[in-house]
Amino acid sequence: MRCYSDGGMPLTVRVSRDDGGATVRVQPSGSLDSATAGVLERELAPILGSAAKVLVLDFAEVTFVSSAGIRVVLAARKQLADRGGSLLMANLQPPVAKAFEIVRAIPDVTIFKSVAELDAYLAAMQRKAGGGPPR
Amino acid sequence: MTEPAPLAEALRGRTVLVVERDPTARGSLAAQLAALGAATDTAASGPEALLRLARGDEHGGIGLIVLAADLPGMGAAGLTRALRTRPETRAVPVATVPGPALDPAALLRALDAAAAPAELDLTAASARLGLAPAELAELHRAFAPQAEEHLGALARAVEAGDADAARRVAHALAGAAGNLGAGDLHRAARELEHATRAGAEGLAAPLADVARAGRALLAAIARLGPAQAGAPVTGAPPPRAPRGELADRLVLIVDDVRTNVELLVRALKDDYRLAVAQDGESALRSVRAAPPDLVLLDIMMPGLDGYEVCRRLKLDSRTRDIPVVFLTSLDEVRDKARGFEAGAADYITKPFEILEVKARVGALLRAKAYQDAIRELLESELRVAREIQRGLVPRNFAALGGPAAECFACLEPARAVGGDLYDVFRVDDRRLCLVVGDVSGKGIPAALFMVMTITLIRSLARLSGRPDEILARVNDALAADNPSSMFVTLFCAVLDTETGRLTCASGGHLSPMLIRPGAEARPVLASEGTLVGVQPGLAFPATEVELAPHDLLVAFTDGVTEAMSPDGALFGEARLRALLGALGDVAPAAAVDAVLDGVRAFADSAEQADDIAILAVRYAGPEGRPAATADLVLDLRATFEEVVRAATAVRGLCEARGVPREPTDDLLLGLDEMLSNIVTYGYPGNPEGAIAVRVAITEEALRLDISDRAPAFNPLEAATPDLDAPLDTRPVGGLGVHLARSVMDTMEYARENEENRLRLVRRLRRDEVL
Repeated sequence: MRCYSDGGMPLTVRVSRDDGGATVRVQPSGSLDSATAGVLERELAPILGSAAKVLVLDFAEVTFVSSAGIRVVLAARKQLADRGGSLLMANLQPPVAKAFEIVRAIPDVTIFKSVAELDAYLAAMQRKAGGGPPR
Repeated sequence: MTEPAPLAEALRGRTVLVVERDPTARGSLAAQLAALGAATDTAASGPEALLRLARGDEHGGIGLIVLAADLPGMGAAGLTRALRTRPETRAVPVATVPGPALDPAALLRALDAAAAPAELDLTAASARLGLAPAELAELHRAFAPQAEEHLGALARAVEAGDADAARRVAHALAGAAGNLGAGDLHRAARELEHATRAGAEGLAAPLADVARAGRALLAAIARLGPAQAGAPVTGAPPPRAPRGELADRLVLIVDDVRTNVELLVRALKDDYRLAVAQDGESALRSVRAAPPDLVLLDIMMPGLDGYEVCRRLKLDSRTRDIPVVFLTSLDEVRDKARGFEAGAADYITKPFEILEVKARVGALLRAKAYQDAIRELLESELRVAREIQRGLVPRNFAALGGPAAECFACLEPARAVGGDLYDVFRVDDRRLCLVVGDVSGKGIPAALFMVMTITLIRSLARLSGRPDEILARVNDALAADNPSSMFVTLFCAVLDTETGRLTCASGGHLSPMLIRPGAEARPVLASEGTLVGVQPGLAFPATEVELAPHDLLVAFTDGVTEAMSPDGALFGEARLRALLGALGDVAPAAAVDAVLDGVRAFADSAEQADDIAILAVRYAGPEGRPAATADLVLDLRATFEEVVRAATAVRGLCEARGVPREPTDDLLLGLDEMLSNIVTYGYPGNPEGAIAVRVAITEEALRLDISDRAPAFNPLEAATPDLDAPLDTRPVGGLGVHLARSVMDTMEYARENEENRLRLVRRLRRDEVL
């Protein structure tokens, strides 16, 4: 867990891996703005450079996002797409969802309203990949 | 033998010295003289007689010498010659007797001859006074009527039993007679002067001596005959310009006895310009009208005496340095000591040797000329220094503050130059930097440190528009190399003329006063902070104050509060607050004048002890617009840490004001987009770049004003991203302005006064309006 704080609104990032590393779940917490976007970008870099196929961004605890945060998300999505991976976003809070909607970054990015919906989607993805249902 | 009566009268009170080798004859003569009422003394030979006379007044003055005609050894003629060549015995009458019998007729002849010299001996006096005998004779003729007047006054005073009056007249007469070489009258008058100390009794005999000597002198003067045609007229010497290096020097002669004045005038007129006063009051008037370079001052004068005149000259700073030489016939040590205590530079007793007077006057005037030259050099350098120092601080206040903040200031050094300072300058088109300071000490060292301080502040203020940072940097710079361990107290403030926000910091300086019309004057700062220039690495925390229109800020140095009244009381902060509180809504210039006037009235005649600086600023409201109320003002530098600070402050403000979540987020989005643009593109690689943020919250809207001094750039002209293109093909960035524009209701950009100015408005009742 990394924490960015300068007396202002901090951003912390939790990373967890499922499925032998093919799915990486990233949970930023705080304000994803011009001052903190770099924190998320640095956390994502090793993941994007790994063999991870699915990156899940759980925005449940992200209170605010500005274009700097959106840029990091879109850049990650592009990098993943280039090598056949995909970016999933879940639990966007209203101001965050609003920002993504404004720049029309949503239709093409898979977004889930809740963790349950995301889990169901992930399970389907894994079945499609031929690995059979987990557990 | 003739009748003894006239001889007995002539001998009364006299000591007669009998000079006779034969003891029997000697005893016989002494006995006969004693029988006539004289005191007697004896000598067996010429040398013994001279020894006896050389002892002088020790055993009483010898009033007559009775000399045996057949004296062996040096002989009667030899002794008489010896007596005539000695000044102290020249005037003593000598009567020669053939044997042991007295010859009363010879004695009376000798006494009369001595009392009335056939001719005045002008030789010795003219040498002493440096005058030709003819000139001296002329002075004697001029003295005659004065002497008659004095003799009459003396007789009246003794008759009236007025010892004080008798003493004064006798003193004047003795002085003049002594100077002119009239030894008998001088001695007789001195005797009378001394006798008056015991009171008015017993003055008849000394008065008779004075009268006799006076009559003899007048008779001798009469025998001098009338003045030669073409001889100089008394009191109006022929005009001849003084010559020599000190010819332009003015010497004031103060003496109530005209003869003394004339002697000095004659002695000095060729070398200096002269002024004359005959009493103390007119001497002081003359000094005021034409300050002399030296004063020759008599002590005993009617009215103000010489001691008092000298004291008054020494009390006045304008006349303090004029050397005063006492010239007087008071010759006791305690008189001299008193004269030096009164401030005299020198002391010469009468009768004076004119060469000595000239030499001493010349020496003192040369010393004074040297002192004057040094002072003039210093003063002319200081005048230039003063002009330079005054030119360092701004004077054209009208151009400085603009309509939003009127300023006025004054700098009043206690000496020609000083260590107090003020400064007013624009940090940028909107912000005004105000500085008041006080360097330790006074005079030239303080002035040099002041110049260094003011120069540092101006150059360092270019790097930062924050007073706390300016002070910290000035402190580090001064403390880094400060061998003389001087220090300065500084008040530094930056006024945002649009919002009235005043950011202040203090380095050991007295808190300025804030005067809000209708309210009491109050200090702006709670603490004075630490002195500047002593220890590096100090912090000078900033305090922020919102000025309302018509608020008056008055900053000052301790020359105001520590001004001292003649009885030693301090002006003090309470008096200053009362004065300022009573001013009402006045222009800064009027406020500064009121403080200066108040201090001067309080100090009255007391000298200004410390430098004074006063700076006043009245906030009138923002230029060209109604007084805007900003709820938050932030001065930022161009870093992302500062962006976070701004976001935190804005969010805190919105929460505190109960602004709903969504407009708050929209405002923060606009803020973040605009600030990150400025940090990244406006000030690349310049974390010191200045950004000003103001947020205003009204019932209708949230307003965000952002200004920066980066090169002109209008972010609103950024290309609109093609949001219809698939995510895979479009660039990941370039969305910020679009995002901000989307959430704000209006966004405006203007380039004004070399600033990029952005105004973003987010309406609060969007639905209602729509």
